[in-house]
Amino acid sequence: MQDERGPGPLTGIAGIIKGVWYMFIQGFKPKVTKQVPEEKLEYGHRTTGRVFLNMDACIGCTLCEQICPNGTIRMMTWAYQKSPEFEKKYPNKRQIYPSVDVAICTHCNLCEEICPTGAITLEAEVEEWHMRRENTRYTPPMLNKKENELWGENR
Amino acid sequence: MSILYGILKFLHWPLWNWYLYGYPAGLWIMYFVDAIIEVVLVFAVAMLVVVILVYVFRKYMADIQNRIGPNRLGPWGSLQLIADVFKLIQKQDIIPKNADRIAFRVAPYIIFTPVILGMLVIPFGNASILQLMVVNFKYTLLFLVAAMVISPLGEVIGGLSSHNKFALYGALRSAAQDIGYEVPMMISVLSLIILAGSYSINDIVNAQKHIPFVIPEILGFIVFFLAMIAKQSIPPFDLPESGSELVSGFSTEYSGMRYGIIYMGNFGFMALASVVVATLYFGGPVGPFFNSVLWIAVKSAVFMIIFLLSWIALGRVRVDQFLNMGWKYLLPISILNLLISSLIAIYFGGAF
Repeated sequence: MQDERGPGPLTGIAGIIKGVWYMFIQGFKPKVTKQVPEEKLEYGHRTTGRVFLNMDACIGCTLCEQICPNGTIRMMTWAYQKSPEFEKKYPNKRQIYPSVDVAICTHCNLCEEICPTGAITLEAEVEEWHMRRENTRYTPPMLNKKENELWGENR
Repeated sequence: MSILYGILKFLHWPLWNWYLYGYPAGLWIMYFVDAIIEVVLVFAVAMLVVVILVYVFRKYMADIQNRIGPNRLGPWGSLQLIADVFKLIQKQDIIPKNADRIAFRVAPYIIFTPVILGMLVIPFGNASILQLMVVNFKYTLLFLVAAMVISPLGEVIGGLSSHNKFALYGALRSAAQDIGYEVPMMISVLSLIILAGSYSINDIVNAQKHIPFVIPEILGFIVFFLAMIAKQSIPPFDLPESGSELVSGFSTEYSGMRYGIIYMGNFGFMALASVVVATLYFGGPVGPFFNSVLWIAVKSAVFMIIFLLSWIALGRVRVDQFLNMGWKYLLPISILNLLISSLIAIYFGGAF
């Protein structure tokens, strides 16, 4: 007959001491996790961030609206008086400019590639959240400004 | 009552010369003032130790669990406990409708009482001619044991009075656990008394000048140590509170500062228990090279770390396992230890 009792009390005591010792050492090991920094990190210079628009160079060709895969860019009528030299070089007779919903933008870079005049660029500037839902759709003049100019330093 | 008395004696302040109808009234006034000041002093020291202990516990537990721990308030989050206390004071003090209101209100203070009462009789060593010990009389060990037994009573009262089934179960478990470990604990204390030949903690400390009592009484030390862990009701013996079975055990219905007092009482008892173990079995302020309050601080800090580790690392035993351990193992071991210490006292009594 085989004795089918489990491990004896000495095994248990040894296990307890071993476990407590491992825990004791664990407190002095370097931590795997790190403190999340309080400040915002700098984006790398190759980040394809938010859409920036140079309204002077925009000719209202709607190519960006057509290439945009999920309707982020919609053309919007906006009364904007260009300076005469830009008016002559990049005429925008219908007065339509792209507006961008930054909440659904996938940063796919297609609009920058398709833009014939180089008015649209994607720069390393991203804002992930907004206080109001309406604020996520940026009007054309807003697309020319940085996030800090739009919303202030500390919201 | 010796600290201020010694200071006044040292300064030759003739406070005890005010005779009133033939009796020195100044002496009694001074005793009274002494008593109040020194109890407040001990209370302040106990609270300071509790604050440090809670901070170390949270930070060390966070280290072990790969977290950051408190890091907002003060340097490295050291003022977090004070913020928590203010938060608890602001909270609404909810008393259940059908609770026994008086008992419910009194129970947290009963849990906190032994922290102060026990600290009064611990000899913390000598600072030049002053003896850092508030009360010294012949039966301080009995007083200490009697004071430490109070705190489970508070758990039972709080659990029974709060009109909640989880709290009731917690109180019953607390009662069962108490009788499980207290008899072996008393017997191991008894063997200490046999070895030292005195009921006074001061004499017990003096008896350990050459050999600490942990060497002749290793069995008694194990029993006493386990009983101390069980008395604090920390894991692996946190049956009265058992977080995953009963909601929070006897403290389920407590909220606000009453829960804060229970919490601080737990940590204060942890400090008291480590000091008591260091005093009774490791000689307290009596050390290898010099006798100082530093030794008892170091020894009790080691035991605090061990208690915290047992809290962090170990799981909970079942009720029947704990009672089995108490009655079937600890009690025979403590009686064996009593016999051994009696033999030592008979044959090598001069060693202590």
